[in-house]
Amino acid sequence: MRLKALALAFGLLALQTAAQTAAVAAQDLHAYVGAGLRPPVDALIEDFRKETGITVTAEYGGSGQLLARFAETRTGDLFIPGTTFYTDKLKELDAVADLTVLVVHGPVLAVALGKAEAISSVADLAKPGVRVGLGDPQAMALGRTAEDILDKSGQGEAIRRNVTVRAATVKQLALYVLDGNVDAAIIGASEAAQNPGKLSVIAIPPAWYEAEYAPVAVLKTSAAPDAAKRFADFLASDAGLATFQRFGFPPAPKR
Amino acid sequence: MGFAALLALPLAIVALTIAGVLGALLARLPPSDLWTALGAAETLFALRLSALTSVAALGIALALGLPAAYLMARRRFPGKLLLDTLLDVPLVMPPLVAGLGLLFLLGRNGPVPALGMELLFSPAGVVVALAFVSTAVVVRTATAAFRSVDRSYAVAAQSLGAAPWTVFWRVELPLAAKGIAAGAVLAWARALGEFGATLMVAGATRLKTETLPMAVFLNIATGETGIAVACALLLLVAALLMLMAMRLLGARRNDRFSRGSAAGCGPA
Repeated sequence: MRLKALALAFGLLALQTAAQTAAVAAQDLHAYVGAGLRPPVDALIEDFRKETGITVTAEYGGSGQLLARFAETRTGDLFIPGTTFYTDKLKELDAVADLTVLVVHGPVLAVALGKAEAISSVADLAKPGVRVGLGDPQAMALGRTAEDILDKSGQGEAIRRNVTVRAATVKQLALYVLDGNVDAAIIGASEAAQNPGKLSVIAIPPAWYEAEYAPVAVLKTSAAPDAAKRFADFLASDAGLATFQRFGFPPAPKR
Repeated sequence: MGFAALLALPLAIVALTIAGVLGALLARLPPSDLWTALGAAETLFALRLSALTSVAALGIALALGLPAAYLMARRRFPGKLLLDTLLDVPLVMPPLVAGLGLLFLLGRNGPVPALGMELLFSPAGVVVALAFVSTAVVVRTATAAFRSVDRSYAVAAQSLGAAPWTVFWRVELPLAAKGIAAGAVLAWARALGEFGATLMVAGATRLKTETLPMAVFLNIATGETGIAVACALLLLVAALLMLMAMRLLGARRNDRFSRGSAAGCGPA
């Protein structure tokens, strides 16, 4: 008898939990986010939850990987890649309900501490024996930008001979250059900003690359389009952009 | 609703899911596209690199793992229990974590920067990552295989004047051979499929450290699923061949920590 009562109680508890989960799930958004954008987006997700009670679950990865994941699953509410190149691809899939450009995702040349003497410009990457790290051009946003920079520098061939490793995400690349396992890498200005004093940062001539902008796209597949739009607006608000700025992503010029 | 019928449903779910996964991978590409992808330079490179690195890793795993396993199976020494647990760590460690640890160990800030710089981001680094995982498998399975061999054979050989080296080489090793071979197949399978540790230690450099799993990973990102699927199918064929080899060696399937298969346990 007591056992029955216990079983009933458990059953009710399970039902209640399920009901609660369902209620929350209606207000739970899934966002695909480029790995490089993790620090500001993590902070903004927390702020958004405090303000609205809506939880956003972020799936971080190389932008290309995320695009492939979405193309297969056709689920999710938001897509926040490292560059508009990937939201353009989403438009081709007719998956974008709303698009807002957020911040500039600019590349810098990061040089490992202790190598600053030898490497003071992109041209120095062509010196024999320099260990260069780059991103895979298809797997991550700044991998493509880096290829443009190499081409424009006029030393593409020589520098490519020095490429020791390619990474799948910009965070992996930053880890390699922070530890000195490569001498230099083309990473995001934001990664450099988040590691002050641990890298030497060299500016890259703006004429050598198309500035990349990180956008937020509300997906047509969203089950909660209003909540998703709210989060996108939250990211694009002055407070949201200030958080991005704090992590080294300046706001995109207003168009 | 009979008892067996009730149990048949979960079995059907499991079997159909596995069949579905295989079917979905096979049906993804039209045969002509698959043929093209299988012949692509990138696929062939990945196949060659995977074959070479996994065989090299297996060689290292056997060279280090067999003597270690023999000692663990046949000798008592202080701290053995602790060591036994330590030897199992790579089996339960997420590969990505193993890769991160190897990266820090071999990196410029590690204890052996000169050697590390040679290994990191190179095909040799791939071998290190693969060997780290497969050696643990060999140690685990070979220890079980040696333990399952009756000690009286060794004692008899010793009493007839055989040196310890001869006892190991001529008596114990042949008796444990079947279990060791099954373990080696398992270790090779783990090496072929290893991805996480390779990504951190060797990087994701196309046509340089691009093993079959790496090729799957990188080519998913391009939206060109051809090479990804081709490489996935090659891995699948290799896995099926290994499963068959395991069956032939009479090992019990399904058991990652297989207790070895000498003395004929499991279906032959």
